[in-house]
Amino acid sequence: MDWHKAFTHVVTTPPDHRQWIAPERALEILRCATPDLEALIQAGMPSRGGQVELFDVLNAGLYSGSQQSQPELELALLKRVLRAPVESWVAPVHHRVRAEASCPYGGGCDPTSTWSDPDLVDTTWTGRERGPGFARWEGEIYAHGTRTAIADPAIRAAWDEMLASYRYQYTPPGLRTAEAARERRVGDCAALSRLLTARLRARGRTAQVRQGFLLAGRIASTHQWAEVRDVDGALKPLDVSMAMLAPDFLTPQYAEFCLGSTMNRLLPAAAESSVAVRHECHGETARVVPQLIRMG
Amino acid sequence: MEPAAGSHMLADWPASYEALLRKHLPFLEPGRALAPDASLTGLGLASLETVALLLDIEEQFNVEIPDELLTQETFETPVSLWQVITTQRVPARGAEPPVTEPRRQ
Repeated sequence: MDWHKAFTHVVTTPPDHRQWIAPERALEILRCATPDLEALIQAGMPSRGGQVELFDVLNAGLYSGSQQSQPELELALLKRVLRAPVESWVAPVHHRVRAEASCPYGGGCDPTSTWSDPDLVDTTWTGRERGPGFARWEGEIYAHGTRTAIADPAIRAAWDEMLASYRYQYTPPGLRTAEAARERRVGDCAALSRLLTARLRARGRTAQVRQGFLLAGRIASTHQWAEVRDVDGALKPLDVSMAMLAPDFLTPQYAEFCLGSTMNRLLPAAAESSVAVRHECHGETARVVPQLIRMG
Repeated sequence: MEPAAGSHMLADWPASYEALLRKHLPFLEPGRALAPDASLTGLGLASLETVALLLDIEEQFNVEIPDELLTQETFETPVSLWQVITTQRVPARGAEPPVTEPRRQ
């Protein structure tokens, strides 16, 4: 494994945003041996008393080419879905799911606390369970994709600029902004979608960031993308971060699909809403992102 | 975690399946029997390990498990996962017939 080469792809986390993790945790993410981690540190990865930085490790894993790191394995799940014909990406599908959320207070959760339901599109929650410090929902999701093209040349131009000038990277929470992405030239799905949205608005287009879950495999991951109103009046998705990852980790065809189309594995939260549920506990409102699990 | 108390199901899978599964179950001690209805999560099959196990299974058993079968129910126990593998297992065109392996009980 050429960790020197892998690390040349990494824009390191600025000192004031670093989240130090133990080497054991880094090895879990990279799914490699201690000498590999030492090689990464020799290649220039910042370290402090044996600890390394969480997002640097995630990005080194993403670009490692090992096919074994956590980021690569997560993308491998989506790539498996994309092996099927494109028609299956947009066909109506039914997902039986469970959402689980934990109170930030853990065992100290107020017994009179309340939880809002996850606010996902085309979802019916058929079961609710509450216990000390947790909430659980059982539900049915009827999802479908859309396959549409972008007609507005200005939207296409903004999209092409993004793909030419920016790259995907795991990004600390404090840097998930349009400004930080513009400055660092890298960002995650949140930062890149915010930057694309800002660029489209600057061109006079109606655009917003959407949140949701991406269900590939047993457990869904959270995801964000942009949505823009095209010249035909329709709101169309622009999944810029996936389009950046697709040529290297998925398929080139999927990169093009991300411009205006959306697949049936993308489960959006309602417009103006988020994937987080509200938990009223001890007089405060906590926003908790539940884990979404495909049951059968 | 201990295997489910009162487990009386019989394992009916090739030794290679159990060997592969054991690689991904850190809480299952070597030499300890793997109950067919044991909880894979309880034996340490974490979320990410599920993906690695899936990729290993597909390579070793020449099978493609569709994404819609990657569910909690599929990865619940050794036997639930094996049942999915057997239903999806189709010999590749021109491939040698699968070698019959000794089964354990």
